[in-house]
Amino acid sequence: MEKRIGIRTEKRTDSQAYRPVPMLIFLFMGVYGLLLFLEGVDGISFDRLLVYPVCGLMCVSAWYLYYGRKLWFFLYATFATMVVCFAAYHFRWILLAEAKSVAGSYMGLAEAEGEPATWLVLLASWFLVLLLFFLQIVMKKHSLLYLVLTILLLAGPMLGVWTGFWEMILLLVFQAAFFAAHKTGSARKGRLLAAPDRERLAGRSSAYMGLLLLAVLAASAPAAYFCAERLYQSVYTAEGFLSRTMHTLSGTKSDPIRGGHVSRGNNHQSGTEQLAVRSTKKPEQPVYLKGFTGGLYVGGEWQPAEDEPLLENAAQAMGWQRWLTTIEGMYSNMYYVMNSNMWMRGRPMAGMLTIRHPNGNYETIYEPYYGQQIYESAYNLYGPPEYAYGYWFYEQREMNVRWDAPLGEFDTQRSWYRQLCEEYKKEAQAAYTLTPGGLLPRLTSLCRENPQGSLEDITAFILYTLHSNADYSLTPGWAALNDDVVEYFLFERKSGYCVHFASAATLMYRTYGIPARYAAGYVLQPGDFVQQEDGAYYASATDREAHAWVEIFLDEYGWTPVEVTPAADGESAASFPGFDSDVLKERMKAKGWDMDEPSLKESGTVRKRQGGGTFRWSIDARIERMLPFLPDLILYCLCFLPLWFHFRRKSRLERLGRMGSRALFGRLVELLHFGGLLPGCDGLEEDFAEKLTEAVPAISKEHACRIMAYAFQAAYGREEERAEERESLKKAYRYAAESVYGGLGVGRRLIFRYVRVFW
Amino acid sequence: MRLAGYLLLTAATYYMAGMYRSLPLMLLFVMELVLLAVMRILPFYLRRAFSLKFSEEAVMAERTEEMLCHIHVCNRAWLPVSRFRIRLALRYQQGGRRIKRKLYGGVRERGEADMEFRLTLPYCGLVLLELDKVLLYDYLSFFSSGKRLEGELEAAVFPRERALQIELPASVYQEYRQEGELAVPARGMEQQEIRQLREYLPGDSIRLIHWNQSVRTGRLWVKEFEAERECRVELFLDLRIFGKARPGQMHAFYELLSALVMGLLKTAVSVRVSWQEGQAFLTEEIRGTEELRRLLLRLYHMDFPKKKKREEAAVLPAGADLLRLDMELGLYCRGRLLYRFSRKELDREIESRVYMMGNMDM
Repeated sequence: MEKRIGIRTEKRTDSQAYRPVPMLIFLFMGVYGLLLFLEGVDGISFDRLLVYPVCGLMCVSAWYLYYGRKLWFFLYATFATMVVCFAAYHFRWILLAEAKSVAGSYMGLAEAEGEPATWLVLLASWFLVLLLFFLQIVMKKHSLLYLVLTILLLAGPMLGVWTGFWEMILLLVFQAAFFAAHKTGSARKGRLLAAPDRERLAGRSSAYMGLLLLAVLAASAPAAYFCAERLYQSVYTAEGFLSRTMHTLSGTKSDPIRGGHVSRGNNHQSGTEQLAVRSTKKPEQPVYLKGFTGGLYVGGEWQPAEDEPLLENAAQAMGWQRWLTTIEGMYSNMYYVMNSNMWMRGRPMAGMLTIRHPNGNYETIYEPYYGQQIYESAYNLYGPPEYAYGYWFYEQREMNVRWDAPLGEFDTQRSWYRQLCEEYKKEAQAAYTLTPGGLLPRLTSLCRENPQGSLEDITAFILYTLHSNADYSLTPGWAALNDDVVEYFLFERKSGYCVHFASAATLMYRTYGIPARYAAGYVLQPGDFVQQEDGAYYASATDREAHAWVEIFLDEYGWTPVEVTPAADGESAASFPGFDSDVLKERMKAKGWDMDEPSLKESGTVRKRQGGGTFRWSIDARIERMLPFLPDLILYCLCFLPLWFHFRRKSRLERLGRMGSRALFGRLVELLHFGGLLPGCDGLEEDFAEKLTEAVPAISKEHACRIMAYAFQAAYGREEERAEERESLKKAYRYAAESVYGGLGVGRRLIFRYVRVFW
Repeated sequence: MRLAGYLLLTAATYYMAGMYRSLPLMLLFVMELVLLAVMRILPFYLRRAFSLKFSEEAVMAERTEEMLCHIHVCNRAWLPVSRFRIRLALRYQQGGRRIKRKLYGGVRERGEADMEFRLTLPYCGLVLLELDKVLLYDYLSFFSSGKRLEGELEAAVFPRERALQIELPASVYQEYRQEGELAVPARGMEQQEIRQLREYLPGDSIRLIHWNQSVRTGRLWVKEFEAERECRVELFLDLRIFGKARPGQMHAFYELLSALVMGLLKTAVSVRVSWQEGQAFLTEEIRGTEELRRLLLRLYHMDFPKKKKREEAAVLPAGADLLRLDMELGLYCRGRLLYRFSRKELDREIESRVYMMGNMDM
């Protein structure tokens, strides 16, 4: 004997077949949301006029059959899938060509715009509709789909697919509504109280969920639109806080230079001291301390520049192979030595720069421009036991190298330097003008389309391009993974910091054939140096002073830093000997460039990222965007009009079937009037029965009298009407409808069936 | 878990929206936050306009049958309640562990519904179902808001209708005829001589209807028999350990009592069952199933003290020694044990065995 108290429930089927319209609407939303999302993928375009209505028909047919007769639905799904597969196999060459075009466009391999992939999208749409339908409606499994769609929405930007406003809303409503439907009365098997109309309740819950979401949208949209910038900043603040906390907790030090890595994310500064610098003289120009020099650029990474092979080649060309080690030493301090010997009188005194790493990590050594390293004897200037290293150096303004000036005793040495400089320049021209053109198609074509002559023109164009299009920001966000970070910075995101500006400028210089290198390290401003008791000037470099810049090769200066990152006030601060802000302004004016006018056109991706035309309040812009779709929309509505009439008719007929005797009698009179029978009669006449029999011979006089009596009874009687009375009235109504319908023309028959819905 | 997943998703949306400066994603994030707030408030709103109760006060069935119980749910809110959870507490009236069961449902906006569930009870007796608590969920089942409920349903489980095949000593049967009362032969003894036919009166047993005559005349006629052979059995129920019996033991007692009474009714007009409740001496005249169920219901509702004054009840009242059934399933006649039934083998003993005790010397 069973000893447990048992409670069980039974599934109760709905009394009437029910087709939940909300489910169809939400299915539409899911499918259309995904199609819109697909449109956001670079390289995918298709004929909307064909794809959207066909997808709509797929949804309606599946929904109609499933909620009518499930067996028919499964037969239909199987048969249609077979047909689709057969057609796909038969026309595989079309699909393959479209697939190649899409893949090429997405990977940035195709030069031109991708071909429309209408058939491919249609094929995918069929399986998409089936998948959504099976998961959401047949199997009622939501989790997997929810996960996939969420990842798609969130990871889209990472893959260069920007989710627009409409697809986001459609997919959100689709997910939430089906979630609500599935959660309606969800319980473990045998724990759900049996109740009628469970399907209806699920439909209603999902519909209300959809309405709630629309209300939520209305409440959220203004907040999101007007506070977007604050919200973005709060994300960056949070990320910075987390980053700093992680560094603190893990005990790892932040590395602001990070070799030649061009960051795809934000730059969070902690203010940790990285370098302690002592100078014997107060600098009057920024002091660039270089810790990394970039040679080849390979997809977001600068390889370290190696001068040894270049010097080897130079030595070979000069026939100095025996003195290779000497050449390397000569080259490293060439410009310091040249400058020291150049001044006949009034030679500026070289400063001594001593650098100490407070964190004790001396893996990266930082060196100033136009300097010469100080060896052992000078190390202790900082004071033992702390280790430090030092340089003699000149500032840029103190450099006065003239290759052709007579230098007396130094002439022989100068000719060696001159020879070395010439040979090195040739090697640098070959080595530091290489760009990965395949990786940077847009940057390359931009430089090709804007040929420039002199170095000044090139520099001016680079500054104009960078500063007119991109803003300086330490928190520009992340770059998409499918795009090169430099191209993404300049053409998509249009926001970045020194690393991005310097990388873009270096690559542009190189594209124009100017030898240029990416350099990273620290920049100390003159104001950072403070005199101490010992008379020396001390400065501290934190990660806030970490910087990246371009260096170009100038005959009289060697590798010289060029500042391409805009100043905090947005002003262009680029200068190198022979180029300053006045030259820039003059060139800009001559070329007709304006820093306030972006030189690059806004790409489609940027429009999408910013919400595009899909989320702007400008009515004009909206109308402008809507206009091209208007014919599509009208045709689309026309496609669905017959379906709408069909469902309306079915609904009206169901209502007719449930009508009481009184209402049915009224409808009978209306029907007769529509057919032009018994005009002026309202059914209350004494001789109505005779007239009805004459007008509709199929109704006998007794039958007519009876239905009149039933109608009066229903209207004025106290007793409830009986089923047989209603059946009798329905029978009479059917006779009258058949009689009236037979006498109508084609146009009025359509009105009879679909507009007035008499039968 | 689900809420944690949602919060994680919201955080991911926020992060991605910021990192890619995507306005649609930022809107999605704000919507997710607002939606969370709406979902938090929703159950409170729904709770205010939600009520439920048992549709009936009592249900009853035989032990092998399922009892169909209904819960009437009413939602006066403008939004549907997509999911609610009721916690039911069940316990046997006469002791046993209180168990809880959870049931789920949903109801449309501004609507009412009768929802049903089926109850199977292992033992005969009375089970009290209490509506303990209801939880109303939001549409995404993230949050819930609950309220205590009040409502009780009595579920009475009767033994299966089966008769013990028993013949007792002749001395047990008493001649029986009440003034003005119609004599009714025991079941299986309808071959007695019919004294007269008379018209049917309300209250007459259906068994006495003379169908042939009724069909012929179009009116209902009942048969009256000779009264000499009518007899009655007095059965005393020894309920001295009633208060401390477990539901299983009670179940066996009820099963045996039912089968015994039904068996006695085959050989007697009626069985007069008596028992002592406190100081009171109670009786019930059983003539058929209906009266038997009434007796059982009276017994089900009896509320004996568990330990108090058991000694007082230890003394049997006078007249209780004719035929007696105790709760340890012993059947006594004039103080002598006729047969002790076994709890484990009770079903077999009731259905398969014949108890011929007519010739036992009393």
